Amino acid sequence: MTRNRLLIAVSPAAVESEWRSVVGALAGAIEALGQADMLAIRTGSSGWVRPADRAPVTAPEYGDTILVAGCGADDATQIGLLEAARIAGARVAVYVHDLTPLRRPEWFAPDHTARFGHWLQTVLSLAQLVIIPSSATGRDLDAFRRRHNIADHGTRKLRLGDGVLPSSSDPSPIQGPYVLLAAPFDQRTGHGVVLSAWRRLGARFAPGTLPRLVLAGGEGHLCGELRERLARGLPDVTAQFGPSPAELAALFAGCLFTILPAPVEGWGLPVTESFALGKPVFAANSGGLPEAGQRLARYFDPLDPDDLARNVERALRDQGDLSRWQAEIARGHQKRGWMDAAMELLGLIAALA
Amino acid sequence: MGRRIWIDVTGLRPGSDAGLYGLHLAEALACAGQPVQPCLRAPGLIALSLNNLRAAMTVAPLELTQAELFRPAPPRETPLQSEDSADLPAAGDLVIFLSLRGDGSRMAQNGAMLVLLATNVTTLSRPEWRWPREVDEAAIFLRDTAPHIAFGIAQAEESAGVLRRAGISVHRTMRGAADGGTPVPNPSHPRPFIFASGEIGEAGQTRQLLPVWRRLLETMPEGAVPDLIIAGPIGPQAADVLEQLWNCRFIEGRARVILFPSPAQIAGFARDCVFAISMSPGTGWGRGTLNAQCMGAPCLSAFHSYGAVPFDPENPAAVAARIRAWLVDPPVKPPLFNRTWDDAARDLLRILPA
Repeated sequence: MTRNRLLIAVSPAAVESEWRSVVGALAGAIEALGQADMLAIRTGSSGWVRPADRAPVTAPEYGDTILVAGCGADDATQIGLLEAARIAGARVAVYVHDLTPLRRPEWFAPDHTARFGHWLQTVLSLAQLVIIPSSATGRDLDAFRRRHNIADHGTRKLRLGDGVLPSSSDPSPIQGPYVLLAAPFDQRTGHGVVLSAWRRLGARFAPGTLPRLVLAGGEGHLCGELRERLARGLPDVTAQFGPSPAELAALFAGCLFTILPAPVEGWGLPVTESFALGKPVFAANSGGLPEAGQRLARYFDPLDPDDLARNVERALRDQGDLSRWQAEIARGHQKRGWMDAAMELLGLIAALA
Repeated sequence: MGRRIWIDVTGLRPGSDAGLYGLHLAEALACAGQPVQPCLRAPGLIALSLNNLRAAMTVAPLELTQAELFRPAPPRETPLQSEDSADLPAAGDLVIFLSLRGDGSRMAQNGAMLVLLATNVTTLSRPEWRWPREVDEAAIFLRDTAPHIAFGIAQAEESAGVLRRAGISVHRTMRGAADGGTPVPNPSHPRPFIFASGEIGEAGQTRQLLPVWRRLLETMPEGAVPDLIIAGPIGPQAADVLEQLWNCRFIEGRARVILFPSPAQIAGFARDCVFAISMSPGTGWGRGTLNAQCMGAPCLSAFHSYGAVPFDPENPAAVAARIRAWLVDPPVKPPLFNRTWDDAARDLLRILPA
C-alpha cells in the first residue's frame, strides 16, 4: 500500500450489487491497516468523500488510483472525471463484471446497451488495470478489445467473496421440502427453463410428492409476463417477491438445494452463497458459473429443461446422493471472505504503483 | 326452411388462427351449397353475413419495425352489424362451436344439435399461456355448454386427448387446410431465411426463438445462420418477446416480424424459405405446418400430427440442435400437399349427421 489515495467510483447500479459488500470490506481492510484517511468513495455523480465520516476530499491527483467499481454507463460524468484524473497523473483501474448488455442486448433498453458499449470502450482505453471475476468475462473482454482494436494494459482476475447473506437459524417461511432459485425475476435469470423442468417433473412424480420450487428475488427487467403467470399460480411453484436478506437467508437454510439457470453470467455469487450456507447447487454450464461452482456444483445446459429435470430428479430420488453431495461441499468448499477479496484487490492496485 | 349450419365465432379475435379457420370453413361450406350461418353471441345472437365475417376476422398485415413497435394502435373499425334477425337455431339445425367460450346452452333449447370443432385447446391444456378471461370463459363453457354438446371434433389426437380429459366426447379428428394464397411474385426476402409461422406470444412459443438464434449464432460459423422471419397473429403475453426483439434491433437485423401476414405473404415465405418451423405446440390446428406443406417447404413442427418433423418447442437447446442439423444436412423437399378448404368442408360434412 502506497501513501497515495485509493478513490473508488461506485456506479449507482453497483451500489445495489455485490460491490456494496466488497467496497465495505475494502474500507474495513484499509481501516484495519490504519490508513482510513487514504480512502475516498464517490457514488454516482456525487463528490468524493471519506467513507468514515463522509467528509469531502480533493479531486484525484498525481499518484492516486481510481478504482471504477462496476458499470458506470449510467453516470454521465464518470468518463470526464477519469480523463481529468489521468491528465493529473492518477492511475485508473476498472472492475468489469460481465459484458451481458453486449452479448444479450435483447435484455436491455437499446440506449443502455449503446451507453454501455461506449463506456466500456472508453474506460478500457483509460485503464491501466482491468479486474475481472472470471475467465468467461476475460474471453468476452478479449473479443471486445479485438473488435475495437483496444490494447490490453493489464487484466487480472479477482475472486469475489462467497456471499452477502448471514447464516440463519430462523424457520423457513415455506412448509415442506423445497428447492430454491434465488435470483431477480428478470430475463437474465432464465426462470423459464426451471419452470419447464418443474412441469416435466410434475408429470413424473406422484401428486403431492414433488418438492416445491421456490422462486425468490427482486423484480428485474422484462418480467411482467412471468409475474403474471406466477400470480395466476403454477403447480408446485411458489414465488416470493422482494424478500429481505433475513428472509432470503432463512429460505437458503431450509432448502434441499438451489438452482441457478442464468445463461450469461460474469460470476456466480448465488453459487458461492449456496456453498457458504452448505447447500448444493445446480448451475448453468455457461458464463462464469462453472468457475464459481468448480467441481462442487452440478451443471446443466441453461436452454435444456430436460437436462435440468433429469439432474434434479436424480437428486430428489436419491437422498443418499444428496447427503453425500452436501457433505462434499462442507468438506471441499474453500471459504472466501470479503476481507480476503479486499486484500487481494489492494495487492493488485499496489502493484500498479 | 331446411337445416342450417351455424358457425359460432364468439370471442375469436380478428386475425387469429381460430378466426381464420372459421372464416375459411364458412366460405368453403357456402361454396359447397350448404346453408351456413356465421354467428356470435354478444350476448344476444348476432347473425353475420360472410362479408361481415371476413371483415371481422381479417386484419391488414403489419411488418414491425423499431418505429412500429411503440406506435399507438389505430382505432379499429367495427364492421360488425346485425344483418338479420337474431333468431335462435331451430330444431334440426347444427351449431358448430369453434372455441370454448361462455354459455351457449340457450342455443340447445330449441333442439339444435351442438358440435364442438375445437381449433385451440390451450385454454385447457396450458391456461397459464392464455388471458385470464379466456380461461374463465372456458370454465363456464365446460360447465354450461359442454353437457349439451353432441360430440366433439378435434384437429389432431393431441387436442382430442385434452378435450377428452375435460369430459367432452371426441369421436373424430379433422384437419383444416393451408391459407391457400398465391405467393407474392418477387423473392420474399433478399437472404436465406427460416420461416417461423405461428401465434406471437407464449402459446406460440415465439419467445424461445431468441435464445435459439443466439445459440446458433454462437456455435455456427459466421454467415451459416439464416435470417429469421416470424409471421403470425398476436396472442397473449407477446409484449416481452416483442420488446426483446426491439431491444436487440431484431437480432441485429437478422430477424423480421410480420403481424397478421396475408395468405400471399405466407405462401411467398413458405416458397422461398430454407425450411419452415412451427413453434406452436400440438393444441392449435397446425396452420403453420399446413402452410409449409402446401408450398413443399420442409417443416420442423411442434404440432406432431401432420407428418412434419416433430420437436419440443419448450426445449430451446433441442430446437437449436434440430435447426443446426438441418442447416448442416439440408432436408429433402417434401412433395406438395394439396389440401384445400373445400376438402376440409367435405370432410366436415361427412362427419356431421345428415
